[in-house]
Amino acid sequence: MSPLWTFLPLGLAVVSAGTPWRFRGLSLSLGLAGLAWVALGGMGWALGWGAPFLYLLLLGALTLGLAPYLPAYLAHHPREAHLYSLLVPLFLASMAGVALTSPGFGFLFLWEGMALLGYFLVALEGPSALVGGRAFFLASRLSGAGLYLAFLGHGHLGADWVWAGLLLGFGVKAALFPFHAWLPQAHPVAISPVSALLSGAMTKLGLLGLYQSQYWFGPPPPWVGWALVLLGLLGAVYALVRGLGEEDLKGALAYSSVENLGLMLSALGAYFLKPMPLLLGAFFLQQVAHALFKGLLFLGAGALEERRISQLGGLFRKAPGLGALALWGMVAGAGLPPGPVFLAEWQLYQGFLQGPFLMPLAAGALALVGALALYFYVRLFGLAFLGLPRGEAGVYWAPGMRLGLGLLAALLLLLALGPGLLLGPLGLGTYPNGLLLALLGVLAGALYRGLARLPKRLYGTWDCGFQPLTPRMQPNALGFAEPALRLFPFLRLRVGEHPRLEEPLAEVYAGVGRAYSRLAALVQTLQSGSLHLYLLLQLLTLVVVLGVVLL
Amino acid sequence: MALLNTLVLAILATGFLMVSRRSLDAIIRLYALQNILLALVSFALAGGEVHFIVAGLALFAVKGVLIPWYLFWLIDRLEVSHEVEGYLSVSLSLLLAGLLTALAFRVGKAFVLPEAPLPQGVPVALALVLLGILSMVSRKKAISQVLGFLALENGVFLMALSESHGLPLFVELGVALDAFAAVFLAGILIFRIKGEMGHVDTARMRSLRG
Repeated sequence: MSPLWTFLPLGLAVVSAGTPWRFRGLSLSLGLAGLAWVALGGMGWALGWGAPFLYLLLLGALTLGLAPYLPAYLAHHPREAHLYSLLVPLFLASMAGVALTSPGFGFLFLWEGMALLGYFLVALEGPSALVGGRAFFLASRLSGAGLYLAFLGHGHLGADWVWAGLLLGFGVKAALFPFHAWLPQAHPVAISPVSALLSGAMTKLGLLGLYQSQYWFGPPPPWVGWALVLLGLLGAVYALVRGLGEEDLKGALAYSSVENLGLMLSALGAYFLKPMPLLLGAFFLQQVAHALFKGLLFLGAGALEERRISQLGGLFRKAPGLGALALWGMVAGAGLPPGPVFLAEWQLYQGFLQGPFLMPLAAGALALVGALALYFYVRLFGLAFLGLPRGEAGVYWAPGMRLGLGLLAALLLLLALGPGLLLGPLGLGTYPNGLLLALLGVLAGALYRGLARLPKRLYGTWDCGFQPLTPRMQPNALGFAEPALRLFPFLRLRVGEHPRLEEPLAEVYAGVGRAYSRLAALVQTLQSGSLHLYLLLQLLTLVVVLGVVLL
Repeated sequence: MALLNTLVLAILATGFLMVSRRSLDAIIRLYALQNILLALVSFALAGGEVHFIVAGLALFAVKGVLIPWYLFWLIDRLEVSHEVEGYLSVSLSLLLAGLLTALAFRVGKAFVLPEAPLPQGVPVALALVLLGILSMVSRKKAISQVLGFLALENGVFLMALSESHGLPLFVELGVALDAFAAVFLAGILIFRIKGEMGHVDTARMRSLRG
């Protein structure tokens, strides 16, 4: 049975994109495609057909969440809505196509098509997306270059070259450390449903590609594994610390994506070095968990009309439903126990500790990542949802959007309660977490009842007996993160009336860009506008080519 | 054989003269002569095959008569001087043309296919291509670029004639019509240039730059 039939519902969306019924058509077609992908992916994964089916499952789950959300969102943001309702189904189809194709020109076609559609979806936001869109496009070109090197060089060049190309090609898409800079620039500027797709689904294709490459191109040389472990962990720490200083809510979420992808890359690298099912469990479980909770958080961010953290605050009172769902997403993202990320990281610890040579040291880096992630999400939730409102940030919270977020949250809960559904086909046992969770629930309930019985006194917690707190007295986005920002040497915090964060790595990228444009200017001197010079160059080229024959 | 050798050498001679003459009228007449010679080569190679003869006739009609007539009409309508303005003197052009021809003859053997019907035509064809580009590079009026391109195109035609037993008839006819269409369009463009700028000097059009 060909998996192509699952693409059929998307045709409905494409056909209806130009008609007045496009929103209903979009909902229906995304819902059907999501269901089909979840069913096919779940069946394929359970029967051991391989990693692409897990990806299909992940993509289907995200699509299911988008199905009610996207039309409700587009109804409120009507700019270019008809284009979005055409391009999003195409983008989904191209991603599913990439996952199901084996390497070759078909794969490259779908891969580049996916990159191009992604670029359109980012660039549709207009002038504000210019920088982000360019970063996305540049990263796609770099990724394409790596893949061409690997695909065309396979069989001619050595395994080292092929894997270097794969590392570049798939690594750029999966935000491997020195090439991660495009992601936090490009993902936040798109509209929230698109950000959710880019972060949740598209980046995973880089991981899937690297994983499948060991079957396509033979086992990787050991340096690939070490590079993935080291760069993945380095990228995770770097992205978390940089994200702590991020003012834009969606930008911070994008940095969190870089962190999660770094952990998955390091899990894959460790698996390449020592194939243990534990590491695979961490790799796949975190993929699905990240897609779900990041989709949940990005879609939740789409309900806010203000993205600057320093202008948010007190949203929990304003929209308790949104707050509760975001809290659940952030608890999962921070790697706290009921969430599936906790289980994934727990398996990753075990894998690292049993790893070869100096690998156990990586567990230390993982611990640092865990602590920083907690700090990161406490900051996000605390500043945006608790405290006093700092501005008049509006919340648009339509029923369709609630349904979409609720679906994703429910799927995340299902994954938290039954990770065995996912890990079973890998032959991994899990701890009996249903019992543990029940115990935890009973404990929390008892604690709550006990505390609720105590006599209560109402007062402003931190006003210390002086005048009541004003919103401006709350810590701002940079101030909350200051201790961590001072701790790490790769960022420079400039304090003063207008505190700001300097990033030396960004200056390195800017330097590379300037050097490139200087080189380009050298080439430009050839383009003098003189027809005769161009013709002369052609004549000289012809003469040189003929001269080569002479030799 | 002697006849073919003479014809091919005559074609080369017309190519040389086209690079060295300073009058547009003379160059157009030389171009017509070159095409007539090419048509004769086509007839000489025919050996009773009809499509060679048809192709040769088409060549004679389109490139030997129609295009030269159109070009004469064009320079009359444009009201520009019939003199060629170039960067190179006559002697320097001839020297460079000699060097390029020497190069073409030196490397020409490497391009001859095993079953080529006219092996001595290959270096001449290469030389025609190089001389065509040379006259495009060194001359200023837009119409001389068109003439240089036409000479180059003749080189390509001679190459096809020498290397294979002719292209299929429809391709040959297509190429002949193609050349006429290109020249026709170039003529329209040159009229527009003249209308916009008041001259047809490509050396003065340099504002489109990187």
